[in-house]
Amino acid sequence: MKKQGYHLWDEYNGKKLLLIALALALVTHGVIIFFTLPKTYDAFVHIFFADHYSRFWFEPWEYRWYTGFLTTSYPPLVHQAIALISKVFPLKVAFSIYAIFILEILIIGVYRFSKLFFDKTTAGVAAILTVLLSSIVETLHVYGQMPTLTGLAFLLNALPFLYQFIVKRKFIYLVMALAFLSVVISSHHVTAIFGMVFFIAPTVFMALVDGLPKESSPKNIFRFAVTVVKAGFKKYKEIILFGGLMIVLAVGLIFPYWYWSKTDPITQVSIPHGSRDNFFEHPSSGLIFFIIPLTLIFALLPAISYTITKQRRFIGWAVAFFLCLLFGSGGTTPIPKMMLGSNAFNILTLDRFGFWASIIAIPFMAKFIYSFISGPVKDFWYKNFSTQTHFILSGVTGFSYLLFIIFIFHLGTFRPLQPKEIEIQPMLNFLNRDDHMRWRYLTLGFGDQMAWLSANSLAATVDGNYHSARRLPELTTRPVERLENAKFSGDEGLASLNDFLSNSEKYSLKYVFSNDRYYDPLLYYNGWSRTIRLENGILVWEKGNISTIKPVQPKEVSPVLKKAWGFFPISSLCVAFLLTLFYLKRYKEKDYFDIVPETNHYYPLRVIYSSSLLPVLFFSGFMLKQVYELLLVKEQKDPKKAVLNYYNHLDFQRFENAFHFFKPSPTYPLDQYLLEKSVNDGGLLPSYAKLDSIAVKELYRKNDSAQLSVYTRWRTSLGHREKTDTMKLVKQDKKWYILPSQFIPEIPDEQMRSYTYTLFKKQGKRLISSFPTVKDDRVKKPFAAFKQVNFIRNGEHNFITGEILNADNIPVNIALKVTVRFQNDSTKDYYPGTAIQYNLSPKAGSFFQVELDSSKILDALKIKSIELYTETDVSERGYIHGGTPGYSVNVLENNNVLINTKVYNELTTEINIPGILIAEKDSAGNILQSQLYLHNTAVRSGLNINFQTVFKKIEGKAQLVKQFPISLFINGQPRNALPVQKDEIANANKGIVLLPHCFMSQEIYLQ
Amino acid sequence: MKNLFIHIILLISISACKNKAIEKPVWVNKTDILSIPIESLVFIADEENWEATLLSFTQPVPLTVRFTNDGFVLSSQNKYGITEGMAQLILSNGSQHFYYDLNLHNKSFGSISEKDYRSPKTVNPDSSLAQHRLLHTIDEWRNILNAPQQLQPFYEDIIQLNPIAGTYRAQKDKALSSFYVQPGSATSIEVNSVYNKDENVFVVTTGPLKDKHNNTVANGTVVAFIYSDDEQTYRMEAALLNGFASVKIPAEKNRQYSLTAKVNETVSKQVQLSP
Amino acid sequence: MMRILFILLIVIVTAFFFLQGRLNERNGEKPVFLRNDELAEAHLTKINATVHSMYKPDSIQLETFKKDYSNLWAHLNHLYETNDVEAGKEYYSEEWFKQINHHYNGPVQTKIKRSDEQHELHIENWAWDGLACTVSDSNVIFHYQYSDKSSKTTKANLKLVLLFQGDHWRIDALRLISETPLK
Repeated sequence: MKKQGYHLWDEYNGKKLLLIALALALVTHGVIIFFTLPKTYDAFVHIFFADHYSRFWFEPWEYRWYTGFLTTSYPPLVHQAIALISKVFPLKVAFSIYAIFILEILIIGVYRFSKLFFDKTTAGVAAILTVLLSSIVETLHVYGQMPTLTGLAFLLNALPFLYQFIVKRKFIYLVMALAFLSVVISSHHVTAIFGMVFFIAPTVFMALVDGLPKESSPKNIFRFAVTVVKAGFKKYKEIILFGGLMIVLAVGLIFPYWYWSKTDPITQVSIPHGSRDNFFEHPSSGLIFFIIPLTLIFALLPAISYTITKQRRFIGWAVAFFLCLLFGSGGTTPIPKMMLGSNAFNILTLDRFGFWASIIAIPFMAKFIYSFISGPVKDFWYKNFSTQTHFILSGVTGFSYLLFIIFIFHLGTFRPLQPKEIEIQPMLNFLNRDDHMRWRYLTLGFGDQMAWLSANSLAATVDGNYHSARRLPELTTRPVERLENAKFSGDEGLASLNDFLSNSEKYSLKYVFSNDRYYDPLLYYNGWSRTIRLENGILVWEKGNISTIKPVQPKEVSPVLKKAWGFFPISSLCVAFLLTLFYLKRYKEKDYFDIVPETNHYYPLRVIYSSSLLPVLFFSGFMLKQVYELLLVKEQKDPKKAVLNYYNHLDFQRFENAFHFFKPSPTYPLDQYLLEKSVNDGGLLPSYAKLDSIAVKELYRKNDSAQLSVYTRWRTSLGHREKTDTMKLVKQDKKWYILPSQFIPEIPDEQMRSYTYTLFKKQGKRLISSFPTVKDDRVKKPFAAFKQVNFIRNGEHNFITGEILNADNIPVNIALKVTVRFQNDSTKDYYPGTAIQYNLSPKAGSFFQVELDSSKILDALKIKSIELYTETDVSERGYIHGGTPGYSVNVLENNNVLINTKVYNELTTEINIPGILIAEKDSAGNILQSQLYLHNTAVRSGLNINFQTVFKKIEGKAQLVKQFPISLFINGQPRNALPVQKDEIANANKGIVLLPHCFMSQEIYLQ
Repeated sequence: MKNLFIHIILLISISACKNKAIEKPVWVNKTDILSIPIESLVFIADEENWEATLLSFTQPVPLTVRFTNDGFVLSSQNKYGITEGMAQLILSNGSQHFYYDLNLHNKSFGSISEKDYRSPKTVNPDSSLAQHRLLHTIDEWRNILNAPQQLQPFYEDIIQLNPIAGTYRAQKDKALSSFYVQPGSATSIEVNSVYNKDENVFVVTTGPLKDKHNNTVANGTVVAFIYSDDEQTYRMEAALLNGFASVKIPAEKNRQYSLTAKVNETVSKQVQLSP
Repeated sequence: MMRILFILLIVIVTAFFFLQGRLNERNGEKPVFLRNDELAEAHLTKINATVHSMYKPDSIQLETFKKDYSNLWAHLNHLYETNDVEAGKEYYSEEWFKQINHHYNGPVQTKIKRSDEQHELHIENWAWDGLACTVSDSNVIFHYQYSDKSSKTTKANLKLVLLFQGDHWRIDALRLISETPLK
């Protein structure tokens, strides 16, 4: 079969195809990257690093995240290059320009890499394929992994030089290979390390095989192996020279990185990543990390496998390809974990292996596609079927693949990975204003856009988006990626966030920018107050009594290393660029790939059939599935499905969709549904919870009617809640509909309500000055007093309980801290959780409880003394706790009591979360314990709500420990607690007394 | 010959590098106490290119140099005052510097401000009416002055404030110097209740609440109305406004409540609520 | 011809980059309160404090005051040498800062280095709320180092008013009572 007959163009066909690929990349990726960038996972992190270098090129200490970290923890070249471009263009544009440059270099790299395997035309097809390859589209537009792409782009460009060096032994090729590999090392260490195994080793192997005289290539595989090893020994000088220099460069160029990883090793709990999942158990992870990037590879696997195993020179590539594919399958099989070791397995994101497999496969896929479009495979279809068949097959495959690629471009829209774009200017203005930068802030519900905010501000946050650099034990001991998306990290995430919100003084954390009301209850019940809603809808929460940031001494890095970090990596790029110019001018050989042996275009029948038909099946199947899911899925096929889908819509707040699950009736229009919903809304479950799991049980089912019990488990920021409902469904027109439950709303007597609120306004700085508040403008610390403080031991549980009073005439915000001093003079601090009212009206008091460690730990350390510190600050909000609770107590078994509470809402606003702070007192009036109880649904103005709480009493079991002295301090001054008085109300109610502690979201000036 | 030539060149270069000794300029109208702003300090000097800096105790102050036939004249660049006291005048010509010791004095005090720092700024008769006062006077250029009729620049004392609640000023014309006498805690609580038939509620009112100095208790003070029937105990809170707090308790048929009002530990007498 | 066009293109692109580049400067200066105060850290002096005031600072307040007072002198000496008004901004009240800015035309090098070797600090008054105080600093030993390697040591008496603002004690006013050379 003559090869010449199948050229698309007569001469320079490869280069023309390359140019087409480059132009195609520019008009497709070049246009779209700016719009997909904000929705990617990693782009903003890299932009943040770029911003660091654009501000502090020679200073690797970055103070803005995690109370400070070293940027030497990540190779800097990509960030420095973007930083340089950002001197000219805005950061996002700079990132996009850089991305396009790298994509173009990658396409050239693939072209040159493919020429190692096949002819130029195939390489040209490979270049075009690169533009449209799903794994590359995903890495660029969904992940935004610029260092990975940079590393790969330069690695692929280095391989032909390395190949030439081994074969031809010319020094210039070694220089060129090392120049390009230097860029790889400086931009992505992981690509450099694994590139040695999966790309460089097969290249060397192939070069050794190609260097063998044709007659000396034995057929026996063992003899062949021996011959290759011998050839390797013959070229030991080249291999050792290359290997030695490579090690020198790898160590030397990014030495500060190695130094950091040695002196400050990563010792944190592994953060779960979808690429490590078992893809059968987590199909969504499999889809994102394995199927979508590798669909074309799987579709053409027969052809790839055939070609890659056909020639002995490809053996190295076959091993690398299948190994990468295996590693890319994550935790689906135990093999990757066994081979990589559990340490590496838990640190690496395994999707990158799949990505490398797809890159290795490019030349082999191009080979088949070329053959299918214009080679023997086409001839086969022409001969055995018809030109029309081939045309339809090509057309349908190509069209469905294009649709598939467009789908990936918009993956961020179909499956939102990030919250909607947030305008950051109002937050920047807030941080710049009135010295707000003197404290740290935290964002909630921002997704990766938190890095974009950081990149534009000099203010510091306790959070961050580069978890390898985290060193705070509160972060490293839990598998939590970021605090700002804690709700997606389950209980651990919320526990971590809770630590930071209650222990905020330690981190000078004063402001929270909240983009998700899910966190509102957690913030409110941890003593945070709403300050303002910014123009972009972001709510700013603030905590009182927080000290300003103290300058932290950066981690010591030698000035020489700082200079090396700022100079060497970027130099590698400049050197590679200059050497390329020099090489093109002086050394470029026209036919330097002549040594690459020709491959024939033959494919066996089974490969032709499978590889021609699988792509059309895969891509049209995938697209049909998407269309089906989008348009044709029967959501009300059976009662269970109907209920599940109804809850799904409800969870994502698609109320109109949810409404369509109700039986159509003229008396129950959408209006009525929304009205009834709005009356029931606003509570902890309807408004501040996310559906965690749902179980539906069919209670009975007759022909056209069914009754189901629906158990739902909800995640709220204050813990899990469970609920069981019963739903009735009827069948009509082959669809199952829910019957709306009868709605009998309670109606208040009054048409208008009035209530007298006393509001307070802190004048703030009266003297308009950018300097800190002057003495005469400082508001004095309000007076407070302890009514009682007790150390309670209840078995293994220990806590400090008591009651604190606002003795002043203005509302206060209270910050409480218990310091336990042990016999060895060490101390440990404890903070109250939700069992306290942090904001108190004038002359109002609150019970409190601060949890300590278990008896085992405390007894082992031996308590010496206990100190209770209170700081007070003027408060403007949060001191109205709302509602009039009435209660009675019934005794149950096992020391339990049932508290029947009736909360009357006398305010002019809805109480979203009716809550009570319960205290148990002994007969003398000592507080034994205090707990917060929150009800799930809201209570409207002028109405009552009843709920019952089972409360476990500890009187008789718990012990009031008096052996350790408790010192009390208020605003730094030593104080004594007032004498404990008998509480007649508690004594009349089985020792139970309670205070209202409700959350109201409507009228912001109240709380 | 070549070596000799090189040596000659080297010698010339070395001699060129050596500075010519410059004589210290003569200060014609020399004075030990220099008044600021400076009008003219006359110096006789052979060379030109002089730069002059007046180094006060706190900072260097650049001076303007005007060259004349036989020297130069220095004057102030602006009219602002300076930290008074020992200072130095530095004259520089290239790498040579000459120093003159002198004493600086501002021609005028500028605007004099009398400082009166009070603390605590807010006093509460529940604890104490004592207030610390710290006085001193400074001129416009931040030099501390002796207070009028006193030899010492600083003065402090403790004053007892009038117990009448209100906002007062330490310095009449300065709002920033305001200090505050708060009302104290309520000494007793009076409760009145009325049944409002139209609304079917008990209107319970307390007040006027006064402290021991007869000041009206502060607005916003929480009054807890605790009432109970045979079954339940209720707690309704209201904020005090102008000494009064009032709540409306929904009434129910055949239900009686006994009620007390409470502000911190001060409790009213019990009243019965019945329709 | 093509070469000229190519060069022209490069010139235009470079000019565009240059003009754009001036628009995109990012602030590389950390906020002053986040910077490590290297001047203060390198500063060494001996401070003996005696309290004469009606209200006394507690031990923690006194330590904070002595530390800030030492840091203040690091910056006053730096100001004396360089007229760098910004460096010590965290230790100046606004009025003091405005006053020293009256005589500011950019940093200079005065060729005289001043160091404070010891202070006998007398706290004359201490506000009840710990936010203002007045001090007499007597027998302060200053050492002046001139550019010609000569030096001078003096003994001075000062009065100062300091205010606590933000996180530091800041100088608000000063009176140099006397300064006499030591033998």
